[in-house]
Amino acid sequence: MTAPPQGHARVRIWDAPTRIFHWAIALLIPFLWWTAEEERLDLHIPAGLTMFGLILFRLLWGLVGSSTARFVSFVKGPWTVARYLAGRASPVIGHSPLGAFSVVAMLSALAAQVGLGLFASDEDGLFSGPLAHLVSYETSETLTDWHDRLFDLLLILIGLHLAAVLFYLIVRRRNLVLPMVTGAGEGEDAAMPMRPAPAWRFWIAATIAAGAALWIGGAFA
Amino acid sequence: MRKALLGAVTVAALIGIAACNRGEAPTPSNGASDSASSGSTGIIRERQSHYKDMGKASKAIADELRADTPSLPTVRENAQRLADYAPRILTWFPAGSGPEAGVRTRAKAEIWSDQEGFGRAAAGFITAAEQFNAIVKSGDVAAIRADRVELGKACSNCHDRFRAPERE
Ligand code: HEM
Ligand code: HEM
Repeated sequence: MTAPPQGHARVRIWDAPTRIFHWAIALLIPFLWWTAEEERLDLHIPAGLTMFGLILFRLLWGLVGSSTARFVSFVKGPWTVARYLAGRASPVIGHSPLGAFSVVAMLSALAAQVGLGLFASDEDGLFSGPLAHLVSYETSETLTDWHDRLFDLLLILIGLHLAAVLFYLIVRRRNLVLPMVTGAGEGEDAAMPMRPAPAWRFWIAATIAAGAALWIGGAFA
Repeated sequence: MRKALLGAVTVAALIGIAACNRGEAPTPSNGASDSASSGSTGIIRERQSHYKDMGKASKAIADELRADTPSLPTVRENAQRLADYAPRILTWFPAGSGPEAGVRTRAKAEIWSDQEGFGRAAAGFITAAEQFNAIVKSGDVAAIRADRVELGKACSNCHDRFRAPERE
């Protein structure tokens, strides 16, 4: 066995729940777009509820998950971002201070998108989100409109995210995709290693998220 | 690594296509002058407000049917409203009130080029609305829930062919 190059070792970066969440939403978003565009609301609504469960899980995991999944570990102030851009930030495992911005923006937009979807309905009153009955026809129309427009913002944020991944790959010669698949990648010795969360926390967070999605969807009615 | 990259590029391409699709110019009738034909303008506005009213009635029914014990008077009132509207639909589309009217309308030219087809769609809806209304009067909630789906199909059956999308 040859020793890894100095200063870099293969370390764990993302835990399995964070990776599964990531690729699940990467698949679901095109599907949600397609089903909405084709007016397949019979598919869009269940997929949207799945998305609701996933987002809720990710928010919980951001509070109690492994260190690199937690908001407190990666959300940094503007000074840290500036130092990072100047190349003087202390080494980190996980999101860079700038990348964290994009993650927070995407998660917030997704949470808002899902929240609006719950109150959305088609103009003919045939299909509606599980909470649309709580608001009037007009309010539901307005929220559906926002739901439609916010998707454009979401596309822009996702575009920036993909552009950044490509930038790292081509200019910085760092592959960020592989660690999101395998969970491991090159780490810098000086950085804090990932502290994994115990499995029971995953089961609690996943049960809460799945339960809430099923409950809102009316499965226990 | 290759595979992951391919995946990322595919997603990027899909998103690109999505963005392009959504960026298309609005339909030609959008924003055109209102003065082109003030008679048609009134007719179009009025039928759109009737349709909105039907949409409201449809949502009110759906909202009730979600509940464990729906309020039957509410369902009855709205089912009656739909049944009352149904036979009037064909009178809302006089010649000249289509895309050529110069007002924003989602009524497609096919309404006038395929009057027989449009008439059949309207007749299908009259039958569906009457049937629904009769089942609502029976008060059998399970049967009402089942037939609401059929009623919805009668709306979509016409919209799919004769109504342009909200946003293109
Ligand atoms: C991240 C998650 C979601 C995305 C990306 C998404 C995307 C979209 C888009 C792009 C549209 C507009 C389609 C158009 O232009 O006609 C739409 C419509 C709609 N969505 Fe979602 N959606 C999401 C979540 C949800 C959820 C959670 C629900 C409810 C459970 C929902 C229910 C609806 C409904 C009822 C419509 C109205 C369709 C119409 O007007 O015909 N969506 N969605
Ligand atoms: C209960 C069943 C139906 C419901 C809930 C319904 C609902 C609606 C709604 C909400 C609109 C949009 C109005 C707007 O511009 O704001 C609309 C438009 C339209 N509907 Fe329906 N509809 C139903 C049945 C039908 C039937 C049976 C036909 C054809 C025979 C039809 C043909 C059209 C057309 C052509 C438009 C476009 C009108 C315009 O933009 O000038 N609809 N409908």
